[in-house]
Amino acid sequence: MTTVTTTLRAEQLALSYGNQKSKIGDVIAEVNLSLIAGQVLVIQGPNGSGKSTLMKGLARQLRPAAGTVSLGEKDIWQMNIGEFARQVAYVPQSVELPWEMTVHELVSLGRNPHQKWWSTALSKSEGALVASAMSRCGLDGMGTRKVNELSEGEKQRATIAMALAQEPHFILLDEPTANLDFRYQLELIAIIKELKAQNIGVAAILHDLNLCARVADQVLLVGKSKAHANAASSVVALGSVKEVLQPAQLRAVFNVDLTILPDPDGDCDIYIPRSLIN
Amino acid sequence: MLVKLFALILFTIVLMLANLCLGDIMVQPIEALQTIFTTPAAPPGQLHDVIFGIRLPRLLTAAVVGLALATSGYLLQALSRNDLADPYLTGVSSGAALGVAFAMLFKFDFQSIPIFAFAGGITASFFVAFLAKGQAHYGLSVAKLLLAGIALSSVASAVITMAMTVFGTQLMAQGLNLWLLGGISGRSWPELIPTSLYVAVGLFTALATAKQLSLLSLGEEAASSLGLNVGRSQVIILSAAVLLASSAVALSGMVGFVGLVAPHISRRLFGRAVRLQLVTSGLTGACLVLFSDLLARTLNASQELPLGTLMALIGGPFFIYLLSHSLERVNQ
Repeated sequence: MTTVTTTLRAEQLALSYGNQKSKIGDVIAEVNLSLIAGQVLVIQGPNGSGKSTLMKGLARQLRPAAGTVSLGEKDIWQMNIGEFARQVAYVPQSVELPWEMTVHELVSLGRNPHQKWWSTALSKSEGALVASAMSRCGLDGMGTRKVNELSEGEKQRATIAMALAQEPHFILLDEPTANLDFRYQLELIAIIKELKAQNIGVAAILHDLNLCARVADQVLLVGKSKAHANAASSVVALGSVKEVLQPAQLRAVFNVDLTILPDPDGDCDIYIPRSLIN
Repeated sequence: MLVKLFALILFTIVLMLANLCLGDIMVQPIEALQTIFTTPAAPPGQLHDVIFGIRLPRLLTAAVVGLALATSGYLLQALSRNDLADPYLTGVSSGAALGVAFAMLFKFDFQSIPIFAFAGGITASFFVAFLAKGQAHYGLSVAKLLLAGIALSSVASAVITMAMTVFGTQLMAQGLNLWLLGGISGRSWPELIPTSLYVAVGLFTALATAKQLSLLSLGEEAASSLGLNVGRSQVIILSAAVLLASSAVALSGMVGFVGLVAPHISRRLFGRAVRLQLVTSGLTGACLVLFSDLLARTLNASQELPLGTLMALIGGPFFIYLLSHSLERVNQ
């Protein structure tokens, strides 16, 4: 891992799905954030508040309608796609896992941005890298398993291992805990902590406030203002867990009353959603 | 797996030999091979004429057409991530046919026919891909793909008929109709050799894009996050598929369903691994067309059946079966 600390930064970022002509409104606008190596940023917000859209914008999947996303000094759209993929890995909400592909083959595809376009051969050091990516995601000895025979948790870990094999400085995870039971959710948190320990910057969308509180260095809370339901989402708060996950703030964004209790056995608070507010 | 692959190659060779020997004039396999691999006596005998003038170019044409259509079908299926795609059903073949009709009508040199076929095919494919893309950002809609293909095929065949009626001679129209039915009788070296070169280019491109196909099979979003230039890869793969299909159309007219049936059989036998499929789909297609042409020549001794008709007879019900089968799977 290089010692250069790059930053993934969004400035005045606005994103929309329309093209220039059919100007439908922005999904999310005026986002400013910066993510540095070894830090975990969790994105929170209600359904439809543009979290995945924001992720696509950071992942160079969607061009900004306004503002910029930059990596270090460079605008990510000034980089070519391979150059970007060598530094930032993105795990979309749903990766289609083809039949017949083995776990090892899948994880090896993560080496693509470092390879010549025709080559699938792994050098010795690349082979070791793939093996270590699998091992860090708890996939030891599963290399020859077919990906479509894996459990949901294993599939999720396999796609994260593929992202790890890219040797990125940053990993972007779009709802990595969707479809996972609580054991696998905890496993995923452990993996994110492991990535952090490897000095990788992680941005993740997590719905569960309790998971979020356990792992986040920064929380970005996005939402729409009540007065303008059709307007773009924007950043409601950005800061530490304690700063952002406050009852009044969450209540305003999610329209839900919640209780926050101190954890008797740990140092994270416990969040209990109580009732709907209309 | 290697044993199975070897068996498939062997089966292809046996079929070729059968096509060489069976027919109105029966030839002993040994005799046939001797004729091919020895220099002929000063005045070549009748056997030599049958083998070199008719049987050999015809069986090679069958093999090339099968190889091209099946590989094209496989590429289209992989690209659209939809097992029902095929050059015939998606309108690519019709577009190519329109190109060929145009070339015939304006009496272009027959060497240029594959180029016109490619131009027609690529136009059709972009048109269909554009329609099937729809609102969604990623992927093609299955229903839209097939419907766009059907619509395009109807329009293409109407345009061909109209152009022939208005501008063409009756003789030309008859010739074109016969050709559109799909067949490889009377194909010989001058058509076969240049078209085989186009097919070779298409096959080589297809094999070279194996990794891109693997990446694309993860979905376009994941592929691009792994550093793949998705749009460019799709255009290259689509062009290879169209080059293969339109070469086949230029050579044999509208032979349907090979591109649908062969990759399916090959998947049943060899699984879905991309590199293997790129080889085995093509070989299976070659076997399919060789076998069908053998039937077309020998079933009805008085007049041979058009190859396209025979393929439709085999492939149509197969398509219906696949359609109902895949609908069942979706509903479950």
